[in-house]
Amino acid sequence: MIGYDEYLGRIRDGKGTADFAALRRSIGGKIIARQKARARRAAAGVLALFLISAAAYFACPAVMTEGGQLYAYVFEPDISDGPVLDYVFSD
Amino acid sequence: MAGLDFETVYQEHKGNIWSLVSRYVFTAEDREDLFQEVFINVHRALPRFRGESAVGTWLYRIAVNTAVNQLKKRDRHRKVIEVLSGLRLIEAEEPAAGAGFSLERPLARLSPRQRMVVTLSDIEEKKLEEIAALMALPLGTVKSTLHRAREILKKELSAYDRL
Repeated sequence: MIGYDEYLGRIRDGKGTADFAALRRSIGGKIIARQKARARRAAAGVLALFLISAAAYFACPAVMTEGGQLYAYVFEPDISDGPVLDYVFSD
Repeated sequence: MAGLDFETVYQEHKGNIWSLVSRYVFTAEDREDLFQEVFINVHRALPRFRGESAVGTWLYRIAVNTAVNQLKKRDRHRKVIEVLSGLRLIEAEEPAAGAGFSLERPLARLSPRQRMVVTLSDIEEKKLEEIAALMALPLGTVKSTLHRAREILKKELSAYDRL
């Protein structure tokens, strides 16, 4: 039979022992490992940002059209009477 | 706050933190993991310490938060494993006849927050106002949490009496 106060007393008395020097060494090791992991994640983030930026740059129409040639196809009135529009408006 | 270095903080407060940790979890492995996690969090938070409260209070608050969060994380992992495996990892509702008494089992019925409130109030003997400040909870919440936690613990302990 164990009462509430006795239970608390057992918890209070059962602190156990700790090797604080060993724990300190282990904490130091974990701190360094986590700092390295954070640095790796940051580097990976920078690299990903660079790759996304590069991909976005090369996918930009102004770059793809080599000086606006693509826009010329879109906006140039001369090509509005090409074979496609002939087909669309044919009976 | 200038001049507050990690080594000094560790040397001055390791005993208090160990005391809290070892009254919150009970296996040597859990205690050491939690103790280390607390000081890793302290190391990370140290540059942001502005000296608005005493170092001991600030450190204790980190320890309390780390302990509650670690137990919540463990509970979540256990639930995921239970769902995935279809097994129930928590012990049966009633302790089995002949089952040895463990310090962990009655407290395992409490949520991490209830467990911390009981630990701080009834084991570490902190005042309720102090607990409210440490856990960033309203005083009323601390009182009701403590009341509920004591009820659960007493009921759980009475189950051992019947064996």
